[in-house]
Amino acid sequence: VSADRKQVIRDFLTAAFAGDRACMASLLTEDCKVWLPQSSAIALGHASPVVGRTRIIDLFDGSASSVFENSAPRLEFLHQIAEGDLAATHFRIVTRTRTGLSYENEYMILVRFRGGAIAAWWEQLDTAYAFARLKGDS
Amino acid sequence: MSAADKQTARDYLAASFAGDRAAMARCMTPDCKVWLPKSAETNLGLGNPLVGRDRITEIFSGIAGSVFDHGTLQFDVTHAVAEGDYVVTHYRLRSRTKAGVPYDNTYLFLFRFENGAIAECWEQTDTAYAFATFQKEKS
Repeated sequence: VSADRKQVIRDFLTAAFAGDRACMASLLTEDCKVWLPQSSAIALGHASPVVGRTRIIDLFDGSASSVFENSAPRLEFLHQIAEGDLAATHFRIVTRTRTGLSYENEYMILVRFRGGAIAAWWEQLDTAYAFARLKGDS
Repeated sequence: MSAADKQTARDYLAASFAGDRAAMARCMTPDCKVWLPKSAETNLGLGNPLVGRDRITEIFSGIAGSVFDHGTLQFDVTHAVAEGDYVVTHYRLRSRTKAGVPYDNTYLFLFRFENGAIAECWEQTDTAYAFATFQKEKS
């Protein structure tokens, strides 16, 4: 079960960056909640948490394509652990921004599962670095 | 040892917010490494990773007291996950800055343990919110 949950998170992230809405939908509960860092939620114009499968798919599908260049980012999974209904993933995104700057940032997410699907998602990343790069600061 | 490692992670955080260097040191291996967010390296002028128990305790025991009104500091562990040598701790930190500005942020820390002590730690938080709040003057 633990290995399955780790794979679900990897599959969800891969689907999010590929814009695969059907795959994302299959991995989320209907009433899933996503807590972004508060500065990210404000920047993206979302309340936090983002509630509901469709809203979450819109969030992930739209945010990556709006800030990163078209080619799929490289996802590097650094650590994954799981216990009970919780699983955590530490990963790195390596890509380029739409303004052509390199972007290499680490993320940590904590996920709660229900019935094998993602029911809650807490995400943290170095938002100061992300905003600076996406704004075009070298 | 998952339960013990979770408690050590919690003790480390409590000690760092209390500025208790001895208690922090008891939680770490001598050659412990702490991996900070990149922007913390830039904004705080720190190396990354921070290497060595003495250096880590020196830096972190001072940070909380330098930016927060110590009497208002409150941290709550909301989730802890353990598997093998690893623990992830999700916590919320609420306080007022030295300028009296409310601070309310959440953190995800990943710890790797060796023989019951923290050998590595990776930290992530909303750094944009943190730096912006630390720079605010009380209105």
